[in-house]
Amino acid sequence: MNRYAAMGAVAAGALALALSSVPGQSQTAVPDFSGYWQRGGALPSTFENPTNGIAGPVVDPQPRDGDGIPWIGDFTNPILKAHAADVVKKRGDFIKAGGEDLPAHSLCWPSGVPQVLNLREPVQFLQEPHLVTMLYQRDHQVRRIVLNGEHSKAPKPSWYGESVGHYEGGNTLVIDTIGQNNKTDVDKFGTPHSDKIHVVERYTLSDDKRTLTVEFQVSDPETFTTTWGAKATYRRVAGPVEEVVCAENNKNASTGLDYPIPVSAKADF
Amino acid sequence: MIKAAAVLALGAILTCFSMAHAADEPAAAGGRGGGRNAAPPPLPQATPGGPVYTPPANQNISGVWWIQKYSPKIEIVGGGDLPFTPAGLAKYQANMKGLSDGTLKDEARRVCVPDGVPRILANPYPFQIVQTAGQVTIIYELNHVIRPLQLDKPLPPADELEIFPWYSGHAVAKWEGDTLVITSAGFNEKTFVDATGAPHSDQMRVTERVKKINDKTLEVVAEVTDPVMYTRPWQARYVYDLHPEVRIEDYNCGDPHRDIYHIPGVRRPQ
Repeated sequence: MNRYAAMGAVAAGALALALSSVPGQSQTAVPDFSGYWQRGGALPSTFENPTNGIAGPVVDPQPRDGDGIPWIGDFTNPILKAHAADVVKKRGDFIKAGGEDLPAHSLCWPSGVPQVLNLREPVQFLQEPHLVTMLYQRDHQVRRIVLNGEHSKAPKPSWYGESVGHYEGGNTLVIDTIGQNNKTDVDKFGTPHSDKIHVVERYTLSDDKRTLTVEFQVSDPETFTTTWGAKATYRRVAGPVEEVVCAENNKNASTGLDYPIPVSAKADF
Repeated sequence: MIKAAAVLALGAILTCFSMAHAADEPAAAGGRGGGRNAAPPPLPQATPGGPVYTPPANQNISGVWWIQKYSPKIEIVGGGDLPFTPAGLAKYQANMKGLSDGTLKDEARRVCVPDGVPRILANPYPFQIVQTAGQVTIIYELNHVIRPLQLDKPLPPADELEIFPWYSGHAVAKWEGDTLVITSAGFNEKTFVDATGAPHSDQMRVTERVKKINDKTLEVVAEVTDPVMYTRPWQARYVYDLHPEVRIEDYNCGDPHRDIYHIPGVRRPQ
């Protein structure tokens, strides 16, 4: 067997194994998401408009070429229901008046989905036959996606909710998330959501394997007048994931006061 | 030239670290090697068997594990007290006094920073081991601590361990037959060896030997070497049961968490 035939045989074997690795799994080749992924593209801290469908309220309403520009959202966006528009407006007014409103991750709180996609440190996907684990370097946020599973009837609300997923077309991972609590924001503009939020993310690997694009759709009838979508792009970077412990450095240098990070008033044990 | 490049790289990492905490944004590129001018990282080698890795039967330690019993005070193999040096004993006594009178905070319990090694090995929450090609990852529910262990890689050089000490230390792992051997060094001095405040210095090295003793039981024997605090290397052993019915949950400091009070040795704080 010559070298190329041998490589072909190995590839065919790999494909056969991938196809048959899980009983009952849809007969789709599993894309290889290994390595480390970091936000890139034109808007590495916020979302872009979706390729198709209705755009969300989350795209930057103003030009942004530096980090000093405040994240003030467009509260007039008709997608926002009245109470959500009010939250965005009040937050904008607070910032315009000189208030500091840091995103959850800066204060060591979980980000929730889809805001977690705005973290700018790398993420690693750990692919097991039954589970995909997403490791975000920033403060070691972790998401778990049960493959080919079904949602619980009434999942207990949690910071990252309950995610199920499946592969499609040999290059895509689809993640369906419900059961999040209502304590996180959808985006950096402070757009709120309820515990009815339903997010479907589609991660697609580019042909050259260097880019991972996620198109996602958000439904939350208590907050938005319609289902909307957005997009984010990751590029392949070097690893491994490093230790980043948010809570170790929580003093506001200008005031000397502690930031309001999560604190346990009474230890669990 | 190489040294100058290394200094520049360390500077870049330092910048990332200093901005990665309470600041609004990290440095633009984030992690090591992610700089704008960095060469694109090599594509991963195609994994034999496809992207979903299946460990050999005798090296399969994947799953959710939960400790059999909890002890706030570390129990060393062979019994007896920790072999403190005079400096170690003085530090331990100072830590115990401080924890007792409140002048020293147990930050792992108060603001949920990592417990460090070996203290994390004793924790009464479940944890998950995930095995992928070239990596074993330990994901603790407690404080969402992760330990991504690269297989068959050397530890970072000594100067990097010294400049960037971590709570959980820098760690790599390798298989010796059915035993995963984890080597860790480069610890910061912000953690204790146990919940009573037993100290370690930044010279500590830990070797953990992780092995299944039957299908449903995992054993970790950790050997701690720290010539500043201890007169000799000593070992502690931890035993965990497999819990396929348990899913690791989100853990946020101060939230109500799962029930751990059925684990022998765990007491509700007063």
